Amino acid sequence: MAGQCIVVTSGKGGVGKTTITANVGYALASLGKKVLLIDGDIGLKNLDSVLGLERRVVYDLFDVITNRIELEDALVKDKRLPDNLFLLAASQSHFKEDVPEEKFSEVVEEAKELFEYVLVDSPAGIEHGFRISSRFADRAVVVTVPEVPSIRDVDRVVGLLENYRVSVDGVVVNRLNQTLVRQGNMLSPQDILDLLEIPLLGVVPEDTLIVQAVNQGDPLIYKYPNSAVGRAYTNIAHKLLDPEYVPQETKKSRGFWSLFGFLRGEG
Amino acid sequence: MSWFSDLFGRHTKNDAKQRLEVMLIHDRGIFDNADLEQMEKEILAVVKRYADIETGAAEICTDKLDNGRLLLSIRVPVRGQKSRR
Ligand SMILES: Nc1ncnc2c1ncn2[C@@H]1O[C@H](COP(=O)(O)OP(=O)(O)OP(=O)(O)O)[C@@H](O)[C@H]1O
Ligand SMILES: [Mg+2]
Repeated sequence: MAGQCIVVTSGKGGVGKTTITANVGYALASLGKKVLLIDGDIGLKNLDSVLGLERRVVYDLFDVITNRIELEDALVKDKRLPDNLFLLAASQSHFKEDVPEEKFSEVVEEAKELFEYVLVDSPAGIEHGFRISSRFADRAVVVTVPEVPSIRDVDRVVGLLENYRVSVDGVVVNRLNQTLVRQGNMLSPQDILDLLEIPLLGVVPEDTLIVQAVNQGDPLIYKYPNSAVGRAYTNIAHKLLDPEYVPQETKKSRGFWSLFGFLRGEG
Repeated sequence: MSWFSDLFGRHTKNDAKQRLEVMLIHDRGIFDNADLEQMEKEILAVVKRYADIETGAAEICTDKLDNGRLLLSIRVPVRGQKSRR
């Protein structure tokens, strides 16, 4: 299988990379794709707990790169989508610098033989951890919140990704608060597009449902697939599969879909 | 409430946008002077293989384009054909 590796990255920390990797990965798997999620945040690891898989992790990336175990045997199968969704966990007892670039590259190449989509959850920053997570990716999803420091970091990260010859699919604007946007107190997705030079991949509203889902150990999209946030993740998955994809407008969800109006050239 | 703040409130997003515009242009200045000098030397060395140029009058510089991108330009006065042995 000649799969593709997509890195989810941001520069600035805490903007939603891990949440988006888990939920968009889940959405891709629900759409029938064979998906592996790699936790690139070595030393911290978050992806397992956002997915609620923490108790099932036996081996991690480090066991694979030190040849203690074969990649296939180190993967955790997600029982909610048992044929399609897998996790390669990060190790908590090592540092990012302990993972040599060429070893990470080997893991990515091998994973691409086994999966259609390999999503890497990049750590924050632009140091070693970012570099190994990004360098070997074919494509990148860049996440930002609608705030000055985060948007500035996106611009910097896009420059680095271009140097690595990684093709940037676009930016996901996370934690958008429509009320603030209407008041003129938050940058809108269109404002952000005017500033950056990359396409818009999706808009995820701010929603406290995320906290509830994480508490319960399920990705939000599994628990609340029809919530505005859940649909936003599904739309991002569709756009990753087909850049021309246009979200369908439904009566119930018009308020939210109007965010996407400008994607269809209405704005 | 919304029309009220629209009329009388401060639209902080405009501050954000203006500040970001300036920051991004500044951040995108990607070459430092040492880079530029070295690059000029290397480029001139290549051009010299193909034409007789006024090395001393060559100029390399960067400009900001309207879209915020950087334009890298090099001016190399050419005297003529490369002299053949
Ligand atoms: N759309 C959203 N609405 C509300 N809260 C959100 C949303 N997306 C993410 N969060 C919350 O923001 C916090 C940071 O999210 P997350 O851990 O995914 O960010 P990250 O970019 O992976 O962080 P780090 O850089 O530390 O790896 C979490 O508490 C998460 O629940
Ligand atoms: Mg994270």
